[in-house]
Amino acid sequence: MIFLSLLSLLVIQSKAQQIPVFKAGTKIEERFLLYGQTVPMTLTIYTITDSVQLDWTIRGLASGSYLISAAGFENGTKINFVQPAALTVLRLAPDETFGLISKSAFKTLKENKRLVYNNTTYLLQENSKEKPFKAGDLELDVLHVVGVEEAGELWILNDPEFPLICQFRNNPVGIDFMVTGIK
Amino acid sequence: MKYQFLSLFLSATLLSLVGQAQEKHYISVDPMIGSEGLGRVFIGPSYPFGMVKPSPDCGSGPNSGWLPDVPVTGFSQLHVSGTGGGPKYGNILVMPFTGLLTQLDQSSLRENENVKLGYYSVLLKKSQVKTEITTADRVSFYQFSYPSAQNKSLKIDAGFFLGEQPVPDSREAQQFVGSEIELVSPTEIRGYSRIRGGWNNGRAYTVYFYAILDQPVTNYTSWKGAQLYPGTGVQFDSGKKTGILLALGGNTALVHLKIGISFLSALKAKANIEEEIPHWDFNKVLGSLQKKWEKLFSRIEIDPSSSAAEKALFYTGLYHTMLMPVNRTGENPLWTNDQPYYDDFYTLWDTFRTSNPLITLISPQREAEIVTSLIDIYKHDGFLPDGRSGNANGRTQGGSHAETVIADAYVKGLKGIDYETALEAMLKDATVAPGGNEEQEGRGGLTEYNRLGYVPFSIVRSGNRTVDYAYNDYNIATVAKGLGRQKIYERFIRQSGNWRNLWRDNYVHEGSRGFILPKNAGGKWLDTISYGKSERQHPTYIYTPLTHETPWYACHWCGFFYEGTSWEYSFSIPHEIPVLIQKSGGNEAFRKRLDTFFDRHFYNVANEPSFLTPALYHWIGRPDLSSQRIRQIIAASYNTGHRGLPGNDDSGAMSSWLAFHLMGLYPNAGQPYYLLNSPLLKQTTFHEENGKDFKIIAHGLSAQNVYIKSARLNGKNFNQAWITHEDILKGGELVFEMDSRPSLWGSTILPPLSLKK
Repeated sequence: MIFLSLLSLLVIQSKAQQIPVFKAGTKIEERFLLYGQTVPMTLTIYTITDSVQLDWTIRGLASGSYLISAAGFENGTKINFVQPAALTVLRLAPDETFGLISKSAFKTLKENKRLVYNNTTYLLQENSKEKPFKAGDLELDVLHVVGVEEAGELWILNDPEFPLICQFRNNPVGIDFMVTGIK
Repeated sequence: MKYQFLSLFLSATLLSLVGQAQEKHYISVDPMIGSEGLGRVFIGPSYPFGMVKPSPDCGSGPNSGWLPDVPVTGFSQLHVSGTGGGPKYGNILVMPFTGLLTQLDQSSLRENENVKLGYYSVLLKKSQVKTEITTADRVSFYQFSYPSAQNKSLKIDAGFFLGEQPVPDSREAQQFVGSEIELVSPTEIRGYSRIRGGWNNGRAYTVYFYAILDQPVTNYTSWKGAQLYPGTGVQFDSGKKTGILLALGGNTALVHLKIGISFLSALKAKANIEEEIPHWDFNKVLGSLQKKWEKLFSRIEIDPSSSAAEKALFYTGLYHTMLMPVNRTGENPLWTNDQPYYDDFYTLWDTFRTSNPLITLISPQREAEIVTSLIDIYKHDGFLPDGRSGNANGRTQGGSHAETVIADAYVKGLKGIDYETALEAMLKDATVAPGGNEEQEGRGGLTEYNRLGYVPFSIVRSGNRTVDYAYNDYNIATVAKGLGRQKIYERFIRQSGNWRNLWRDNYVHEGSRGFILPKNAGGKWLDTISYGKSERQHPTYIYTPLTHETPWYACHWCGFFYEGTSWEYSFSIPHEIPVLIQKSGGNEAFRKRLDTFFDRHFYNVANEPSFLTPALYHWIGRPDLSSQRIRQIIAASYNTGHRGLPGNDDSGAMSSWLAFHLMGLYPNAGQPYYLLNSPLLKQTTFHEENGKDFKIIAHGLSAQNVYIKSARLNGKNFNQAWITHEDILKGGELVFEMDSRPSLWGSTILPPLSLKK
């Protein structure tokens, strides 16, 4: 019974593909691929209210925070790829997010099957025959979008409240990453 | 009475033995200093500049092969010392074990690890085999003590190497090319390992071996790939990993193994055994090795009353400095002549500041050989190396620092070097673009540098390339002037000021004015830097003198500076420090700038670009402040522990920096003088190759008396905080009087100015 309660806390969608619940303390394990180098990073949600603060650590060597503003979380149109600055809280611009897209962009994607982010149009791939997206033991319910004007593929968690980017591949900015675990 | 006499005799003998033991400098060496953490030094036995470096390998990940606490995979015969980036070598792995010949993995935890100069021993927990290693120059020597004579097995793996990655052509990863193995007779095995890549992304190199046992093989199983072949003693090269498992006979539990190595052939490897170790006496091999090192260590004798820690730091520093480059004369697979051949310049970017100058002080003949080898590589490969390993040039990190090494040899009067050809080689670096091969050799961005007077930001590492090239141009000017080549001198002395083209005069950061900062080809300073290849997005980041791009925005190699910030590199103008001071706003502003650099921890003790910076106070007439900083750095970052080196030792770069400062000397490489600082040792005596002795004495040195009050050179007052190499060559005595308070000593006669003056 206790186990079931815990499970229900962790997963709100009881099916093969899951959408984890994100709350303060949730850890998102990510692997960044930077010009041939691999950098593991752990993001921990410090606050998740109208704004979102993500605390990061890299290999236990350095840590800091990104603060996504309420405006950015709601209506952001860009991902900020600024290098994490150790021991500081990096306050993102009102039109920026990090690690996720804005809720309004996600809503647009669901309604129009496309979204514009980082000045690039991304089309939803509805008939994708790809294998399910796995982050560790979790099989995540994701939306796969592909860039139109230039390369770039994203797998976005199908969660209007926390549209986490689970993978960014062929990023023309040169910074690819993928979620490898959520705890 | 008889017993009293005997007792006295024994005591005297014992004292004499102890005395003799204390006189041996090699005993002070602790190969484990810097073995953990960032130091990554090689811990196994090696000759000075020795080709063979046998040592345990703990998986294929660690650069030196060795790691604490984890299982030992085996013992391979070639390693490098103190390197960063992807590992190199780790070829021809052997591992004793007990039991059946059915398992390839024989890795084992260990205990009782014992490491001394020239000697390594360990007890393998799984098999209880005690493994002892010593070495000759080109032949490793193993002594295995098995638990019983009846159960003795040995694995020889020709396919193993360090830095293996599953992804083909991974950057900096070594890649398997081929291997071969043959049981030639019941006591002989031969073969080779062919590997490419590694940190310098070099072409394939082949390590041939010939192994000889003193106990016969009674049973064997070879392998190719994952397939075992019981009773088959030959596996030819078909692009798969090969090796052999051996059961050993004989009535003794003690087994000896000699492994000759060659870069030419297995038969040459066998000849190396016959030449270097024609016997089976382990202690004799060890004794020969110790003698080789002792001969070199005895060139610099320090005060016998120095503490054990001081002796360990100093002689281990010398030891680390002379592990590389390795002498492969007669083992060059690429061309044949009578010139010396050295490999594993890993890299001159790291070693030109202190390692090469220290080798020059210990053995100018050796350094002359090394320089001659660089010139010979130029003659045959087309370019001087900046880095070289596995018989392949690469990689360049900043400048073409063979120029500095050659200029250093020239100004210090090293004999037997063809300086005319050396100048030709230097000029090639400075005038002929390496044509897309700039990762391996030459100067990347040379065309732009020569056209614009700086390397524009569109070319990677443009900041440190510009700064380094300017100094390398100064090195060319130095040699050209000495050889009477006036036009060349005039061109390159002019170019040596090119660093000023990236000096942004009015930029103020943390109270200091003027920095080396990014500029594009159009001459525009870049406050923000764009990144990525997107034509839709235009992300930028703000560039400041503290920006350290790696690893986020760009590859480790693609930033404005290599392994450093503008705060660090803006001090890295070793030939025009007075101009740097003037551009920084004068003496007081420069002092504040230096203080900010150290007090705000902008200084990076773990890397070479800032090696000279603590001594820059000399140029504002404050050598006492240089000494203060140096002592602070040593106290905070160097010790005799396994983590006693603050950064990658880089072929002894960190270690030689320390050794110089312990003596109170510091070279400005490429220039004919040493800065003088408060020594940490009471006395240092150089027994020079020319037969002269030069002594540095610090009278009254103590924990409190750390400042130089006055100095005398050969009895005459000496009021300058620098000394020429020539003065050291002449022999004599430099005597410091130490005091507890700073003095005005050395404050007026500043270190020599640029060639232009």
